[in-house]
Amino acid sequence: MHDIGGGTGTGTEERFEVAGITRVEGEGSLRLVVRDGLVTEAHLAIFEAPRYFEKLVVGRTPDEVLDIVARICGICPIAYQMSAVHAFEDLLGVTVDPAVRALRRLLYCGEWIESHALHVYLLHAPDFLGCANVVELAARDRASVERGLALKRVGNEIVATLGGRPIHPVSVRVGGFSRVPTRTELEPLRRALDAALLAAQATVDWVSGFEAPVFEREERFVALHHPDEYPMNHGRITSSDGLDLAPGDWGAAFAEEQVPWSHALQARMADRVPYLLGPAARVTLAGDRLHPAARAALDRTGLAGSIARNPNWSIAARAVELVHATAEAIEILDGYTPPERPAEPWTPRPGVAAWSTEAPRGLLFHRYELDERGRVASAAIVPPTSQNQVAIEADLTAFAPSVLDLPHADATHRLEQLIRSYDPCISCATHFLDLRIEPGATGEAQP
Amino acid sequence: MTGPLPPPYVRIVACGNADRGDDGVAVAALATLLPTLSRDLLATIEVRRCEELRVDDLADLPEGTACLVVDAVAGPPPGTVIRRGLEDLASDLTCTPRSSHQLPFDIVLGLAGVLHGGPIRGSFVGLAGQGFGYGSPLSRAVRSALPAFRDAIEAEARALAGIRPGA
Repeated sequence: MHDIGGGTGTGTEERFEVAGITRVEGEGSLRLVVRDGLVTEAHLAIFEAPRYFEKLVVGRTPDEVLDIVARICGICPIAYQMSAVHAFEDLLGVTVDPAVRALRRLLYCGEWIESHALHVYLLHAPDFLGCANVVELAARDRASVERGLALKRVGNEIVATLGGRPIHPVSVRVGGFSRVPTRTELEPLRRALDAALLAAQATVDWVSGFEAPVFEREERFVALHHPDEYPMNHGRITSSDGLDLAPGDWGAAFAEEQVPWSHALQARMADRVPYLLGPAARVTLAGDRLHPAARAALDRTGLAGSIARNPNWSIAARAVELVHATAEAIEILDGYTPPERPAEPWTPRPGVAAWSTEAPRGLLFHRYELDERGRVASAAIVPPTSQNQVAIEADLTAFAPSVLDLPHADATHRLEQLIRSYDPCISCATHFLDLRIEPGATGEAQP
Repeated sequence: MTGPLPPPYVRIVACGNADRGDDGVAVAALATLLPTLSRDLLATIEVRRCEELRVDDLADLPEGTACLVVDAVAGPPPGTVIRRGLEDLASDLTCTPRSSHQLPFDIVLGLAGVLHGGPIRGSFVGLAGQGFGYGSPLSRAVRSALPAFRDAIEAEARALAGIRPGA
């Protein structure tokens, strides 16, 4: 493990522009302006079209919402279903069977595995190894890429087995699942996970040998924290500087606002100090709740401090979480006994449903107002990438001076690499307009 | 007693979400095309249905098997049938497969080629869609073009399998 650095540069004005950031999910661009060695503008512009999911769910029942919000993302659909279902169950007073609770964690483990394997191997690792993309990496190191694809496949299989299909699953219901698997149906997963755990541990060893660009800053991290388990579906919203909120009280400390250069709302705390979500935040704030196999892997790397200080080392945090998710999935399968019934009954009621869970990319908050019929009257969905934008731009501002002495193309690449380290999911993040269609009107979009 | 089935000559990969309007056109076309195909052609093909084109769908192609990717596309006028070689499509910016791909098409194809041990041989047949909304039916433009789309799929499958039309 080595760090590589750049120098400090000065100049009249230099612009770094990446029209389409590659190896991220969705479409965004970078615009960074440096005058006399100081960054005067650092914008992660998200220009992918808004998707109006918060309006699509209006008038829908809670169970319909679960299927609709799964469509927000092809990589992290479980996260959207989990935040929504826990919000509804909290409002409706539904307590699920312990086996259902475990199956939901297993489902989340599957999503973390496929999402983290995708980012570590196919999107982020090429940056560290001097490859233009994963095709070049596969030509050079086929075994590693095959290991990543095998891990991703196991994650997809978990989601498909529990959710009905690997992308946009359909089984999650308020109170449980539409159907739960038998032990026999889970046996192929159990066999596959033994190899996956070894692959995850090999991933930690692989990435800890990478060289990361030198960059350190003090970050405010935000993540769920639970006294008994690594955070996924339950826990309180905590921060590295003492925040402590119930999972539905996100709005008490955070608010969204629009900026001119992004279709994604940016979330801020009252003091406007940036905060960061995701694997590095979880490993830093909840590392004491990692599975022992993952904790041992993290300790073996000696990178816990670097993960907290240098965003480029988020790849190591993701690798550690791969170990956690595979190890926990094995334990859940070994202890699984199907519940007596797949879902608990519930009765519609009006009120506010709100909850946060830990998506692969960090805290995902949902809030729904249900009307007298128990249907959605309004919705707010706050994805992790829209929350991370401010921190990404702040980090770009702090990091850019260190690459000014590099050739322009190399400096631009380093900036793009820094953005990739946050694993932004731009497609998830894009929502910014309050779309109102008046009866008899052709449609009007209002900010 | 019979031995194992020989590998197919053509793997047809049907991409798209059936419940997202015109994104489901590949599934709709194949559902109505397969029962009409001749036995000799059916004996040479296998069909995989996937929402997105995955590396795994291409990398494990048996030796000698070609791949026919069928999907909706965005870009050309709705109802336009697109036929391309797979490698040509990766560099064609005038139309893009419409299904949600976690990796860009050229990366999927390139990575599959490396893992497969050589370029993926095959073709792409697409139909330009008009609307991709949740729960929407196929658009009128796409419904009108379905016969031509089915013909193009069959013709491409026959060409890849080396079977003459009408045989």
